[in-house]
Amino acid sequence: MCSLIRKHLPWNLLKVVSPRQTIIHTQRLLSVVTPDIIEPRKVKGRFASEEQKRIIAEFVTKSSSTFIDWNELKSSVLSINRGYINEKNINGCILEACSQQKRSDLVKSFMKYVKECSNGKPNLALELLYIRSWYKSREELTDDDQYEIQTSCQSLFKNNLHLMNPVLLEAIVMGLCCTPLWRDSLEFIKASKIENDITVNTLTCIILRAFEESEMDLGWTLIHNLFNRHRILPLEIVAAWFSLCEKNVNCSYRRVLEFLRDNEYIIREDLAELIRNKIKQSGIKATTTMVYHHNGKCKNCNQVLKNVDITDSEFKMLQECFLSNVMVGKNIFNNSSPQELNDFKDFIEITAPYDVVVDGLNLAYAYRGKVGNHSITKVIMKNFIAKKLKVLLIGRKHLVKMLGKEFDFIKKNAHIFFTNDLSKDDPFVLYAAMYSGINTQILTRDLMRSHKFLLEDVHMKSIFQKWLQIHRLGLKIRPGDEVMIKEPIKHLQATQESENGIWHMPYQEIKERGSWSKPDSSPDKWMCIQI
Amino acid sequence: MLISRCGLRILSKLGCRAKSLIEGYPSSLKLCTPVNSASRYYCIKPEGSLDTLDYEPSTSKLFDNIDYDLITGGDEETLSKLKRLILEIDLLYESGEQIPSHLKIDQWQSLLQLSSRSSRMKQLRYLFLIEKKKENRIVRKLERRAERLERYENEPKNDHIEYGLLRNSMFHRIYEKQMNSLYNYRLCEAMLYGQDILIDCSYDGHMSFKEQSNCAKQLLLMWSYNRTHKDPFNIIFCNVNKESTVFKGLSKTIPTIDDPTFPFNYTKQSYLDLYPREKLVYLTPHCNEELKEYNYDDVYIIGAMVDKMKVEPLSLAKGKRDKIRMAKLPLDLYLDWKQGTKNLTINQMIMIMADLKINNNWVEALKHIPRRKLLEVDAYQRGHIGNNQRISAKRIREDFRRNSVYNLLIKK
Repeated sequence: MCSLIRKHLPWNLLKVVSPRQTIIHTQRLLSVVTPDIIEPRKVKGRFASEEQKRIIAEFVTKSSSTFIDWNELKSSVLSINRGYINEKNINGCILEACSQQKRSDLVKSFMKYVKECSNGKPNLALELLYIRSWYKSREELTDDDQYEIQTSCQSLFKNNLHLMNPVLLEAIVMGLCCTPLWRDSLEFIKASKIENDITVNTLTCIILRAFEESEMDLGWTLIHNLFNRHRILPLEIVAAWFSLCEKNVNCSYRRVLEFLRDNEYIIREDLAELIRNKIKQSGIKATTTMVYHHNGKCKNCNQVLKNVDITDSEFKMLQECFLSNVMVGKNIFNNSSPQELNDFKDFIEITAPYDVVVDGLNLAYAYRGKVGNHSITKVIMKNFIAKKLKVLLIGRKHLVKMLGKEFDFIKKNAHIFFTNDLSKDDPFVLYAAMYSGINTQILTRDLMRSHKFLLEDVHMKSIFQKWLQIHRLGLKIRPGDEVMIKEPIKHLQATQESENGIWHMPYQEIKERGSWSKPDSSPDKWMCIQI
Repeated sequence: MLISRCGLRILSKLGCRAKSLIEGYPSSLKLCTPVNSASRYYCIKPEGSLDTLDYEPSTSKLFDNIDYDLITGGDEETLSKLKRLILEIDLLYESGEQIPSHLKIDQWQSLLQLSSRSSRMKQLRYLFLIEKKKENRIVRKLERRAERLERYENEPKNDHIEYGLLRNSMFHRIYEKQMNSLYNYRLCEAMLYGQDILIDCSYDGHMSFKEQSNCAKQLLLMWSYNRTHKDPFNIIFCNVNKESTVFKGLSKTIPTIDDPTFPFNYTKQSYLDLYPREKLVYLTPHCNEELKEYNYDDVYIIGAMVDKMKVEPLSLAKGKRDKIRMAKLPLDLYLDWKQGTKNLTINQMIMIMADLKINNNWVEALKHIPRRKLLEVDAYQRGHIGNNQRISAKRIREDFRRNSVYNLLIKK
């Protein structure tokens, strides 16, 4: 009825008649009525579980007496609603908190408590956590403790052999490494048949123990094993080796350096600092230094570093690998097309070898302004041609438009290959340089890391890196019409020993997680170790 | 009576897990007294196995709710892998990690496919969060229901007809079914008289599992957006492999996909078999040609591909090999790009193409690109302003860069 009236009457009239009550009525029906009593804020799951963790941590730090009421802790933790810790996983959480704070007395008393509660042995996960906490306090173990660990590890291994996974194995090995029977862990690893995905921690434990027992050869074979699998060298291992060196006269720090030399591994700053300190303690001069790029001289000792050398067979392998992995890849259409590739092969067969291959687009985009009324491409090409070098310019077809009139000059004096606008040009540059022989150089500012990645094999990658390092010409552009070609770095950027026994070791800054780091190819920090 | 029945129905959906949650809310506790005690499904340990520490998952008591045959398909190797996985999950759970309390069969299967431990942990955490979300949603629903019922009870009673939602009303209720039939009618009309668009579903091998499931989701969004559009396309999925993850995921969300009356076209054939080569245009972000305007004689192809991890010009390679025309959207002509890749999702592509088809207005059509990818000032307006811009795009971009550097400094 009311709505019918509203249809015919103008709005202000309606107000005058004042059917306010009806308006209020409709509002009440449609909108949500706010409750009069303000309820306490609801506890959310994440907040609740943080609270639970806080209670546990507080309890662990505060308690000191031998008798501890674990029941009280449990009930106080479980009384918080909606937390993620419940009856099933509370034991694990408490034990982990204890072992994090390195309270072995608390760990023991808690395990006793758990055994009383569950009439016998605790469950598997708890057992593993228990063993891990033993490992953390392994210096304080008594003989009885060791025997206990030993039996429990062996029974664990026997019972779970058919379901062995890396985490389980890691805990078992950790336990065994606390006992005199640590050698058995190697057999355990073999028997478990999961040698391919052993964790880093597992191997590190055994290596540390081996060094403690002065088992040098075993330790080093395991280090090689670890390095081949994960390509890392943990800090603790090197520290353990140095502490062994202090005790034992037979072994020396040289072994670490030799390891770095053989694997061409570039370490981080923290490890380098450790090595420097340890070496200084043994009375040998070790100083940080830098190496001049143009001649490869060390600033400290004025020695020239070794040159990079690539053998012919290595180079040949690189050529083949590059063609199949990078140039063609999974699908030739991604980079190019079969016809274009064949054309290119025919072209370089006729015109090779070259002295320099120029990455035209990279060069053209390096500096868009004019250098003395010419574009940078022409200036550089002129430079090469004046030296009577045989140059190949590779670019895409739209480069012609960019060059304009200057194209004629380049066309007369150099070989040119343009790929399609939809193809990639970098692989062509690299392939041309590789095909024409080991003496051909490349002019590009690109570090070609994406192509290096596609090579897949670690050995191939290092060959590619070395090859690129000694053949890549750079550009130096200064304001004021000056363009220079930077010569490549010729010295080897890895740990090396010179003829008179001076070691040079490069290292990199520490890379924080998630931060950008410099490319691995050019470490700029060096250490000079003089015997 | 009615109240408690409603509450129970929802609770039974939740299973017994909800009990512990609901205990925190005394107001809703009234609704749900008869609930069994909370229990975890797969890690209830029989007392006997504790003594011997014999971890034998084949005992049926341990993992009640796991259907080994369905997950593994009777394969011995997968079975042992599954047992290892169960052990691993158990260990993680008991050391306090966040693990879901119940896993479905397809979730087990996807976990089995993951190769590294860290990726499994990531996936488990993701599943855990989803589970918690679902539980919370149901609790909230119960709360709201209780609130609503309370409100209705407290309402002043009148002796004539009651108006409102779920009460008497002037209008007919429009059911979902009616809307569906309207949308499907539009799609059928588009099949007869509308424009065709092709979705190329041949990229399954190039995507990871996560990307594949994302792709299925995008295809669903695309399809549902298209049917609500006022002038929908006739979408044809070509190169479809019915066993692939993408198509399985899609048919899981659209169960009636194979009904003869359902307006969904898919075919095993390639697009080259369906249309003459000259008519086809592949839309790919990797080519150089820009799409000037919508050509009603052409048939456009969109690749059903999600490339989150590595961007390879796969669609470009395909277009090159099949020698069909390729085009990309003129993003640089009409928009000032801020950040992010210039690859768009499949549903965004359909949104843009559908709007473009109406009147060839790029400015309107490109509004479907998410705003976060564009520069803030006059984000969608460049086409209108033309050359007389007050604030140049270059300046905005420089401002943005300066600000972002500043932000980085503050963070450090």
